[in-house]
Amino acid sequence: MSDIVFSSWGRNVVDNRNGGDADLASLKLKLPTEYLNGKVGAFMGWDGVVLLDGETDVVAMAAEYMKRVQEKHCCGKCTPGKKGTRVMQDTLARILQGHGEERDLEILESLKSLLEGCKCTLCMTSAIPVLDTIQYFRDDYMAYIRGGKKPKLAASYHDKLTAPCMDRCPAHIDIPAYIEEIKNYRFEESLSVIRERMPIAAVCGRVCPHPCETACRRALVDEPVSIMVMKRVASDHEWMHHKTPPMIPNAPTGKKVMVVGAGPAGLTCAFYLALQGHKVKIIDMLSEPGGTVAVGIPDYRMPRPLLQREADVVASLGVEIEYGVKLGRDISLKEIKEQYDAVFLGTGAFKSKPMGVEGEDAGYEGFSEGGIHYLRAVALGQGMVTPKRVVVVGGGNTAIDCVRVALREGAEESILVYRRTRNEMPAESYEVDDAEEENVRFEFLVNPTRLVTENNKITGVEVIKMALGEPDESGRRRPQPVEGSEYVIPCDMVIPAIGQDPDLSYLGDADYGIQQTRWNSIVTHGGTMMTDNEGVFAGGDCEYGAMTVVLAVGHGKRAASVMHRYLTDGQAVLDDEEALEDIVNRLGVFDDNEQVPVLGGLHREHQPKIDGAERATNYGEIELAMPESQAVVEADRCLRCYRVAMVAVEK
Amino acid sequence: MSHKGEKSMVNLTIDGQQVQVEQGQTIIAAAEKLGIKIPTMCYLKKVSTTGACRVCLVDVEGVGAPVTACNTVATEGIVVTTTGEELVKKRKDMIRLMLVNHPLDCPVCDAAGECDLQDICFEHGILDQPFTAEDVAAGKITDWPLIENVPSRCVLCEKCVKVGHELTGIGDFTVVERGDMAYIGRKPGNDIDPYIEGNAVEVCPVGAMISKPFKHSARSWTLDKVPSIGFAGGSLEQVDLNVKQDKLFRITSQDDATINNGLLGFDSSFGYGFVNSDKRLLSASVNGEEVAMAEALKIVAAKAGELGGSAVAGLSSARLTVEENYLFQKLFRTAFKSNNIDSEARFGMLRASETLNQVLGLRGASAAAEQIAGADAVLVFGSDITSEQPQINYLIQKAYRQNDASLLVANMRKVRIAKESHCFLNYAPGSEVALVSALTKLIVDNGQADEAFLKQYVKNSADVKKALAKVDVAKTAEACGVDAALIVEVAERLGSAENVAIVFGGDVTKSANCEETVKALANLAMVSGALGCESGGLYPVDEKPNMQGLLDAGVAAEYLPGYVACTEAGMTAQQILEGIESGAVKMLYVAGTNPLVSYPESARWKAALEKVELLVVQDILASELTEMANVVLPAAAYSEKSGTYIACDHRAGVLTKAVAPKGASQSDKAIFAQLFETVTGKTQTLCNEKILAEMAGSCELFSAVGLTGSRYLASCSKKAYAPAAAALTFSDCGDGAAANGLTLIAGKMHAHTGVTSTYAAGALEIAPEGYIEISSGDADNLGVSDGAVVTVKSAQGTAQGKARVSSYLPQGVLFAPYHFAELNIQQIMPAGANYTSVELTK
Repeated sequence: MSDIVFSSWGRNVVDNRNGGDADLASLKLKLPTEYLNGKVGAFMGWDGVVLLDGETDVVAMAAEYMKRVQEKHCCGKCTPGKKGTRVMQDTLARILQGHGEERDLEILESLKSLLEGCKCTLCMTSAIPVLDTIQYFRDDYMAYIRGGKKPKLAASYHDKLTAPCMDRCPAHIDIPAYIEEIKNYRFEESLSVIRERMPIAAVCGRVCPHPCETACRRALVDEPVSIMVMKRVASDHEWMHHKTPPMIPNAPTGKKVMVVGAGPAGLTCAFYLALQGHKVKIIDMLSEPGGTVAVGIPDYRMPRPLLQREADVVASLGVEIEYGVKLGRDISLKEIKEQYDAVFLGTGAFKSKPMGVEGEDAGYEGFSEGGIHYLRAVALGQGMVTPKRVVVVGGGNTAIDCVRVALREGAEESILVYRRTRNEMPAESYEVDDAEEENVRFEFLVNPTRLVTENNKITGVEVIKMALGEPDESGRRRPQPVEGSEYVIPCDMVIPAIGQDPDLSYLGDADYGIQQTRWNSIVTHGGTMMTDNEGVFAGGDCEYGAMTVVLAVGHGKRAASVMHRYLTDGQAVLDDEEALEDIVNRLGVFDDNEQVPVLGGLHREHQPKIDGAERATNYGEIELAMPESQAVVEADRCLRCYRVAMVAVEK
Repeated sequence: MSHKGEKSMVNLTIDGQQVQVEQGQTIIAAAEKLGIKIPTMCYLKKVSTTGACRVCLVDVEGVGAPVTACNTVATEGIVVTTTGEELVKKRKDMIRLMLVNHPLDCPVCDAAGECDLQDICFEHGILDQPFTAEDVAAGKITDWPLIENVPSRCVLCEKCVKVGHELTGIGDFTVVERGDMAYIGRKPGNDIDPYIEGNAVEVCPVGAMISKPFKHSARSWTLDKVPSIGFAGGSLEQVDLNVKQDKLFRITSQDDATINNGLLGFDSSFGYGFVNSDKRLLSASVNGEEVAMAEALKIVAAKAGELGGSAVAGLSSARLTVEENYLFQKLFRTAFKSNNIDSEARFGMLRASETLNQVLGLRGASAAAEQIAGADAVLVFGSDITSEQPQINYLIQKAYRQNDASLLVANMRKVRIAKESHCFLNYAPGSEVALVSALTKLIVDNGQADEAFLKQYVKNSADVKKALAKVDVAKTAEACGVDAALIVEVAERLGSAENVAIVFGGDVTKSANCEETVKALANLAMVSGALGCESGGLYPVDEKPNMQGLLDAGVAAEYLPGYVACTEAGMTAQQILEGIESGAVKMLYVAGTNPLVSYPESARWKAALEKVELLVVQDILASELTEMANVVLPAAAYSEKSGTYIACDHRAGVLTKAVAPKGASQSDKAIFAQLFETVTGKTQTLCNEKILAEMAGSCELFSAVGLTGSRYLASCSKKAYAPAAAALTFSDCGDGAAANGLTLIAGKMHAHTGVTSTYAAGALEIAPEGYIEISSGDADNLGVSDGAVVTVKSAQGTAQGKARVSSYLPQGVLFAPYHFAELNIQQIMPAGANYTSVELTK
């Protein structure tokens, strides 16, 4: 039997009430049938209704949905939203109480078109599932209106406010809210919204790959809103006005937590645990905060004094940070477990992947262990001497950072070698442009085959030309060597920058029962970020493999939230908000085929930028702060694409 | 609302008509240009777009649904239709939704007759209501000071929220609650000096924001609106006096038509009530006996004649018009043959003016106030600008928010504008000169000085470095109690800004270090380019409306009108005081000022005044001073007379007589003229233009005399400041006197101006009495609790008042507002100072 009774999701109506076999899988609806400890009866949201349990009362659900939209989510800042959803709520409640009239259904229908004139899509889209129920479950409504029918409430209802951008953001920041605050010249309030989900806005306002912007509905009419830069604007406002952050931690709980790693995941986790009143200590193997952000992202993209300020803010909440302490070397996980009530591992991915080229482990002078090592040595001033000609191998952000840093370290020629074309480069395209403006030389469709040495010293790298073949599992066309096309690029240094893996050697042979993946990353369960070892949580690059700062922040936040429950109730479980966050995320919120009825034609505002020749010689920040008045103009482009989802859970 | 850079133009079509607007403009603005009116409830041109009411829906070709004209930016080539059956139906439904549960209390609603909701319903013929819902509106909020909020009438247009946050920087209104329960609430604010945003009432399209002083006092349509200017703050906002049957009911302003774009200061919103006070002087009196004005004037004339010359002295006021002050000095100099005239400017603005003239050849501001709005950096030094001159504050807010200017605030107290600033230099009393000099030195050392200006205009430009050599930034930082890095940052921001505006106020002009600080500020202005830039300048400000005009009119012993040196000997205020004490001065004529409250050493003044043979007090309100007076002359209030006020930036505004003088009171001008005629037997014209022309003929101050403007007039124009080559002096500044121990600052608080506001119910609702503000640190150390009565004692005397424990003061600093006769903080202030060392006891 089908798991779907009825669905109007995506305007695609499937009605199995009188038989039929369309199911979730055939509809490509990634909706779970279970919710925490119950069964999903029905799901209601911006794109329709999905009924999984025929016993679920859709009229009662619609009434509850509209009540929550009006009383919990509607901001009240536009007439149809404020008043129209109230009229809908009361009308539905009246019908449910048996006092409705058929005329009420017409009123509800007429309100849908008024709600299309709403200021944002929250109330506007909330009418869609309700009107679907009126259209497809009219008999149920008429049963109430004629009298006699009693509402059958579900065991529980759970709702969630989302938006395509906030859903796509791994940290699930309430993006429309913080952008609206900027639009209203309320920069401090904007930062407070960001800080509900992310403590390091100065970082993610600068170096985030901003997946959110790929789910921006504004892009469907012109260009995506500059969501990332808005975050920097809010964060810079506080810094530039010498404001003290307003957060005040809760009363001490008496619980102690150790966070390993002062990178984005660790800082985030510590921040939220400290706010809950837990006593947190962070240890880090480096001499300063930020992890990969500090030593892997050059200062011209992420000035370290600002990173330090973010860590200072975390410390100001009572978090102790001790540098130069390495897990597995200076302290063991066993010792930590004995002394602390919970542990968070945010140890990053600091091991460079090998190129698979002969001689790379021979210890040649001029051969760098990896991009991340090169960047770290330069950042920490560890006496790294950069010679005249440098070849960096790889197409990611680290490779780009390496070629650009090499120029700043005195290289006369800095060459990036990549086996595919520019289009396939995983690095941000603007960074590739930036590197080009700074006179980095690119050699595309070539792959190293051999290191050329003289007296144990690198003198060049032999490469072979590549041609693009059939697409691989990543969807990119697979490069294949062109036989006999080898040639040598003379150079004094070769830096492979083709990826990093976590270094989990600290787990040692004992492994503490913590499962690892075949990519040497830590396994956690069910979105709780808890490992197989109870009380030990993990997140960021060490859990996922080398990924983004914002993912690490998302992990750190989620872990802190679950750890708080673990520390206070002994249960490492998700709450409703998080469970629904994951459900909605699987379902997907952004629809890139949507016809957005908004006038486009407004270009996206850009930050001023230092020009290529001027910047290539120093580590001064390249992108200058966007003037606040310009940020207000940009923020006004936001369409506030809120949506409300609700699930009815039956026992 | 635009960042810098040239704006390109876009072309669009609205209802078949072509129009071109600047990029970034909305459809509604483009329609307005064509004279097409699109109905709206929430659109307010002067704030950022809101898009709340959803009434202004229009169709744009190719867009799937109607869009709101008020917040949709026009793009090239769009074709817009503003009318049509569907659109009108939708608009009407939006209005109907707005009316769901809107109370039908129009008959008792203050907005009736000027309500946008009434108008829009009427225009659209809304006669039915298909929608019903439970009424969940929050109850009426009556416990705010001065404003009553009626959420059930509110359409949540957010105009009040935005005008406060975006234009005045003061408002604390915000939307609270969700859904249909949402309403306008207030964020917790400064409870020491709570500011209620009167502009919220001005911009409210319905009767949600109601002014308590005005509530239920008059129907809007019965009020005449008489164009005039504000009566407080030397930036002279253009306002409409709303009057009926010879009574002032309220003051409003208009967007677009006024230089202040409809924005009011606190006094205009709530502080005007003193003109209707039952303490108004309604008749002349001699030794307590009511007499006719002419009778009283005869006695004054006779005594002046009897005593003759130097035994007669007079004090005038910055509340009086230019013409009145001109006649005042003329009366003394030509009729009484006395040159003993002065004013409270002696203790403040005159000193600043003298210093500016000495080093810059400048009297007052160097440029028009509007220039502040275009500045790239604004330094507000020693001024609680929000309180002293609201309109200057609004221009600073404009520079800050719309021009991305650096906002730099230096003050002894954490004044209201400090919370918005990029950098706040909370300097210790007595460290002003050192602080300004350090900023100047840093700019010079950074190579950011305006060399071209220095070279051309400063005669000793070669000495700049030498004069600054002794300045030690680290030591200064220590003396100021300010982080050196912050001083460096402020210098960097000032130095790198192309357009710099420097505003300074009463904390500087009234201080013991006034002259040295003003010299230092003049140095900073020259070096930072404030005097040479396109959009900026140096702005001394004062709370009194006609401080500049008072000085221009020659009310000072050493100056005839227009700063022409007076060769006759004459006494300054301080010399008059001493003269009374020594018996040399036997008759004192006080017009529109009260030395018993507003002059430093007020207790000494009181003792002296007991000795005067004839004390003549010409004022609008009864006070301890009129009680002491032998002759009381009732004067007309500002709404009852006409004349010129000259703003701090030299703009001449015209005060319009909107109502008849109360009782037997007469304008100060008429009183002076009659007295002049009585003494000299000559006639004195009362025509403002003729008086101004007479004044202009005797000096070089004016470029033109004569009424200009349409609704809001100007009566003359002054010559613009234009320094000659090598005419300015870079000063080698001293250190200024440092303060020791616990220091009490006397100053203005926002709800009050001078002493008259203590007769205004609106101002008294915010601050009914004086208080002594004390930091929580000092309060803890001294065991003082909030509200406890404390005594402060200085070398001059003691004063007693209630303590207010505050987070706006650094430790070691106390503050007391000077307006209140009962607290009378000026009795402990030395002459020519606004702070003094005190002992505080419980």
